[in-house]
Formats: sequence, C-alpha cells, structure tokens
Amino acid sequence: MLNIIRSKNISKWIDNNRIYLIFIVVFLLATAFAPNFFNLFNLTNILRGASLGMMVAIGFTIVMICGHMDLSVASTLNLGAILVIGMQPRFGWTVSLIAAVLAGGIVGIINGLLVAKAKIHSFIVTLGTMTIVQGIIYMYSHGSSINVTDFALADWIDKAVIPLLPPRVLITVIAVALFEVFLTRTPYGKGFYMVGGNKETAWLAGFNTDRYLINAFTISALMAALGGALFSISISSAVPNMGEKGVSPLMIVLAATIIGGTSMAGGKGSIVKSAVAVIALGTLFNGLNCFGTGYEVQIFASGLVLAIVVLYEAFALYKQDRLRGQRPELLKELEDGRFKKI
Amino acid sequence: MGENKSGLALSMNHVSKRYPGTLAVDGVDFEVCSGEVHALIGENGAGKSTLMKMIAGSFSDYTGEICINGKEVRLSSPSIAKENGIEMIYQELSLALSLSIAENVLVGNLPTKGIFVDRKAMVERTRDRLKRVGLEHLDPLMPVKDISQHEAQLVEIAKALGNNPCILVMDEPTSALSREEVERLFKIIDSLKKQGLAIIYISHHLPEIFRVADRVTVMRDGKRVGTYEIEEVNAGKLVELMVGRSVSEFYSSRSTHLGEEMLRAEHLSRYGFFHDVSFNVRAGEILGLYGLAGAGRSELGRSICGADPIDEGEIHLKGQKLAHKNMGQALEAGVAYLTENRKTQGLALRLTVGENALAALIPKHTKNFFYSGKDDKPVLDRLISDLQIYPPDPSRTVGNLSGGNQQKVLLSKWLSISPKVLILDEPTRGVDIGAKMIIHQAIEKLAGQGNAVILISSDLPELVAMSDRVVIMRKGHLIGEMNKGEFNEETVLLAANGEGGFVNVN
Repeated sequence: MLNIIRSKNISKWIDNNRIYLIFIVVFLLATAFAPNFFNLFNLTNILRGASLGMMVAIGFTIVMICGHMDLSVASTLNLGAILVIGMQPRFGWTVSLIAAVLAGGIVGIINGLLVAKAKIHSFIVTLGTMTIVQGIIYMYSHGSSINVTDFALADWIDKAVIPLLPPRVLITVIAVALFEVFLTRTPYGKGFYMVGGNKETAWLAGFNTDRYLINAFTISALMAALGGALFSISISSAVPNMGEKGVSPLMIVLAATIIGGTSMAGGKGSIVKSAVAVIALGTLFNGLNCFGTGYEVQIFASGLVLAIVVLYEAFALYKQDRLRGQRPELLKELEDGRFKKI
Repeated sequence: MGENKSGLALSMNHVSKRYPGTLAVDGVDFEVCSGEVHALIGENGAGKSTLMKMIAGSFSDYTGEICINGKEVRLSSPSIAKENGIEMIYQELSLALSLSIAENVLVGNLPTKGIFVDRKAMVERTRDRLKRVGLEHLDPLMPVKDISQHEAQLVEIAKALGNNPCILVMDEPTSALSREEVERLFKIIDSLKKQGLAIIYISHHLPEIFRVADRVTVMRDGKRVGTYEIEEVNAGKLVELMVGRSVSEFYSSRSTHLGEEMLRAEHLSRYGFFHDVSFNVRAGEILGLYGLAGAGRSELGRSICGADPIDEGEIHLKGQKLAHKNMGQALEAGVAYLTENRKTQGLALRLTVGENALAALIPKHTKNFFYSGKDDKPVLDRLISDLQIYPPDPSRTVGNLSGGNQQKVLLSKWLSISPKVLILDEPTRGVDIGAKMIIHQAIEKLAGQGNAVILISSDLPELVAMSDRVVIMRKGHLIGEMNKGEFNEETVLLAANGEGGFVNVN
C-alpha cells in the first residue's frame, strides 16, 4: 500500500511523453498492417492533411493554456478560406491572403474583449461568434463553394519540393516551432502559463491578465484564418463549411489538444505536442483509410482515443486528490512499521 | 513600547475595516519593529486575518493610518503593498499548480538573456532560494502539483523571501509542516530577524509563538486586547486573554440523559491523515472533537461518514459493524456529516431553500422510481419554523440568504432525516450570534431525542459549553479525552497544544 505514496518516475515520464508514444504506436501499427501506407507519397499526404489542423492547434492550444476554449476557430478558418478565394480574382493572392488573415484577427479581438473585459464565459462567447461568423460566410458565399481561375499557386504550395515537406507543410512546421519557442522560452510566452495556472497570482505578480487573454484569442483566430486560407489556396476553392460531413477540423483540433496533454483547466500544454497529436490522428485516419473504411469508422476511432485519454486523466486527478493533505510525519510512522503513540 | 528596537517598520494607527453588518477590525493600533517577530493571536473571527489582508493591500476602504518606515502610505492594492516591501505567506497556497517550481518562485521576474528566458539562471536562482528553506533536493523544473503539500508550503516561503521584503507576514505557516521542517523554518526566521526584517507571525500554536516571537498582540472581537513582551506572558495567560471570560456566560447548562453506546470507532486509520483513532459516543451525548488546524479532525469526520475511505479499523453503530462503502450507505444507516464549508461543499447555492433542505429526503420520498412531493410541505414548514429560517419562504435562492440562514438551511437538510449520529464540522463558523443560538438549540434538541452528536469546532466557548465530553486530536492522533467538569477552554486549548497534565487514554 505504500508504493502509491512513493513517486513513480517511469509513469511520470510516460505521462509527459504519451503523445509521442501514441504516435509511434499508431505509426508502427499502420506501417505493419495497413496496405500502401508506408511510402513517400502517402506519408507526404498525411502531413498535407494535418497542416490545417496543426496551424489551428497553435492558437487553440494557447487559448486552452490560458484556461479558456475557442470554439470559433471552426468558422474562423472557413472565413479565411472563403475570403482568400473570393477576393483573389479581384485583388490578387497577396492582398487577399493578408485581408483574410486580418479578418480572422478581428474575430479574435472581439472574442478576447468579451472574455477578458465583459467577463463572459469563453465557451458562450466563442459559440456565439462561431455562429455569427458562419452566418456571414453563408451570406457571402450564398451557400455554395467558390473557385479561382489561377491554379499556379495551388500547384506550388502543395508540391513536394522537399520530400515530405511541401511549402504549406513547411510553413506550418515553422509556425509551430516559432510559437513553441515563443511560448516556452520567452518571459512573455511564459506569462500565458501563469495566467492559466493561477490568474490571481499572475495578477499579483504584475501580469496584465486581460491583455494576455485578448492576445491569446487574437493569435488563435489569426492562425485559424491563416490555416484555412492556405488550405483553400492548395485546393483552389473554398466551401462555406469544411468538415460539415465527416470529422470537422474543430473536432480534430480539440481532440488533438487534449490528447497532446494540454489541460482544460489551464496552465499546462504544449503546441508541439498538440501538433504531433494532429499528425497522430491523421495517421490513424489514413491507416484506417488504407483498409478502405469510411469516415464513420474514423469518427468512431478518434472519439475512442479521446475518451481513453480523458478517462486516464480523470483517474490520475482522482488519485492525486485522494492523497492531498497527507501529513508527512504520519507517513513516516507507517514506514517505521507501527503507529507510535505520542 | 519598542524603543529599544531599531525603529518601526510598520505602524497602524486606529485602523478599522467594516464588512456589511460587522466591524471586523475596530480601531486597532498595531506596530512591528525592524528585526522583530511580532506574533498576532486570537480566536477565529477575532479579526487577525482582516488586519493582515489590510496590510497586504486587499482593501481600499479601510479607515485609519498606516505608516511604513515612518512614512504614511495608503495600501489600497496588492501591488502598492508589494512596492512597499510587504510580502505575505498565505495559509492557503497561492501557487500555480501546473507550473514548475522555478516559474512560481520567480514569477514576474524571470531572468532573461536577450529576448529569451535564461533557463540556466532561472534554475540556479531558484535552487539558491530553495536552499534557504532546505529544499535543495527538489528539481526546480518539477511542476508544483508533483510536490507534497508541506514542500509547497516551503516553496511559498521561498517565493516570498525571494522578493527581499522588509515586512513579512506569515499566516499559520507551519500548519502543513513536520517537526523538523518547523524547526528549520524557525532558524530561517531567526536569520531573517538578524537581517532586520520585520515579521508578523500568526498562529494558533502557542509553543511556536513562545519559540519565535519577541512580542505578542492578542485580538478579540475585532479589537486589540493588548500587546505584551513575550517574557511577560505564559500560555495560560494568553489563552485567558484570547478567550475572554465574559463569553461563557452566554451558554446555559443543559441536563443530559446518556443512553446506550451509539457509535464506536476502533483503531481507525486513514494512512497519512489520522492513525489509530478509537473513541465512542453514546445516545443523547454531544461529543466535542478538538484539535489545532491540520490535526485531522475534519478528515476523521469525513471518513466516518464515508466521504473518504478508511484504511484500517472498524466502526460500530449500535453494536453492529458499519460496513458502509460510501456516504449514501452511511446516511441510510443514520450517520450524517455537516461539512465544514457551506458554500463549496454543503449547499447548492443556486437552488432554493426548499430544494436544499429536502435534498437528503429525496430517497425517502421516492416511490416506484418517481419522486412524490406531497410530504414536502409539512416537513419544510416544520424545519423553517424550528430553525427560524428567515425569510420563511422555501422558494428563495439560498445564495441570497445571510450566512447564518444559509447555515440553518444546511443544518435543516440533515435534521430532516433525524440521523442517529450527526457529525457537525464547524457548524457556526462565520454566523451571527442569533443564528448561533438557534443552531445550538437545534443541536441540543437532536441530542435530547436520543441521537448522538459529534461536534468539531474551533470555537472554544461553543465547544466547551455544548460538549458533554471532549476528545482531543493532535497531529493525526487522538491523544485523550476529558469528561464534563474536567475541561474548560484553557485546558482544552493547552491539551491540543500538547501541554498540560493530560492523560493519554489509548
């Protein structure tokens, strides 16, 4: 009964690196069993497919580290996608890309202000902006998909110039790396963890907690819009609502962020781990796809993985809660063998 | 007073703070010199915490004058207090659990190299600070949630010391520490004193005060009773000053008819929380359970009622072994527990008085899967009139009631099922005197009907006046019991401090 008291370093290590282990297991299983899985073309495809989710996961993770939730990424990425395609014929790629990303940024600022200043729960705020933005998209696109005439950029952005890393994947990986360094290596980035870990303490230590929240939501919306825009550029067209049938990008990012170890309570999380989790889920889907299964199995599988991880986490929390408040000297008595009376 | 010291670090002149309804701090004068440890003691609700919060800058609406190093300052926000060199070590920890020790200790001023955090310097600086509190074995990059509570308490101290304060407030800093750690903390305090820090030390543990303090100020009912050089007083005198003689007259004595043994605990242990606890309580008896903070009183109560597990030992109810696995089964057997914190554990604040009061009756009023509310009204009417819940309207939201009435609603929830054994954990904390009286009457009535009551309370006058017998817990052990007539407020408090001629019953 006493080994529960002693810290278990191995289990802690597994806990910290579980997403890498999950990825390796999924990858090895797919390599071993899935037909036509392990070849350069298919692996590049997995990364192409994962780059939208990875891009969105950057900001989504930051918001979650602050202890909040950004549901509006689901429609902000559609906004980025539809704007860049819709504006391209008139303004060209550069202007429309910048406009699409900035439009996303406005959604983020609104989210941030409502959460930080008006003190409305982020779940409600972003559920609202998600719906409103989605409505705007339908109005703009009249509910149908739109296309461009210039396919040159689309050809380039997803072409495997470097093996495994087409430009779009490369941009995403660089963005993930930059934000990871920003978040874990700069004092400002560390502040996001402090705000999410204990807002009161952060405030007492002189952090501008409101500013941090607004920035988190703004980054989240900017990255979602950028991801959506790059994705639609790569296919030269945009639909008003991606993933309407099948697994929605929001679902993938949400599941990946949690599987990647970001705490819903805030204060803990890693962008790299979220990104790897997106790739792991993409690998799982791709592997299942190689067997010829439909998207219904994919939805089921991603739900199953998420459920297992969440259950595991709840169990760990329960165990920790049980032992909180133990007196060290009483534990020592136990180790000495018998209770001594004072 | 204090002329021999090197100068006043802090002086508060006639400060007051009013909460709605009460004057929590009433015209108090308080001062600390540099290089002095000034202890502040008083019972719960005496106003110590409010006074300390004032120093920490939690209030912007206090009255009176506060001077730091001779200059008048207005401490209206935590950051102003920090700028003036005031650091607090809170009883409840203010650490971010998911972050590393280093990030917590150095919060707000992480060392940098260029635009990046200098991890090496961060680790080294943290290690230095941890060394001061004897935690050099900890990895500064470990998250705070992975260290034990007593280590977290020391980390909290390291964090406060790191900001090089000139005034340090410690609120029960030893409540989670072991004996050796307490000794180490005292050595730290001694060396800080030599460096000229002014330290305010709040504690219920009297021996600690005699060990560290130079002077002691006693507070009671929001007022300062007096300030004494530590050599002038002894434990007995301090207890007398804290308790005040007049309070006990408020309680009338009652006659009790003790019946059969109702509940017997045999060698109960929950590892790490309390060990080898045995006691019994008889029908019609009110058994007081006393101990200092962290002695394991609430933990014992929670385990008896099934909220927490028991690792060893047995509980017998009316001679039969109670084999409950959870709170529901304990309730069915007739053992109920009134939680310590009504707001977070006791009441559903957004529900109505009626819904809260009847919550425990739901299983009883359910027939064939459906809840039948036809018996609700008479029960509710009786509870509301018995406990004089105001306003007497079962459809009011509990959250809008006063503290005293909320506590009455909480009590009525358990009275509605007339438990054979009712464990009350701080049943009158933070309630006004009128509500307190009604709650006391209700408890006595329940005991008078042949039920057993276990009363856990830090309110000594209440505990002494209500209890037929008192058992004392100290550091996770039950160290003895005293019968009616053998105990008073002073002997109980001395016993809980491990002092006084006290017989070990085990």
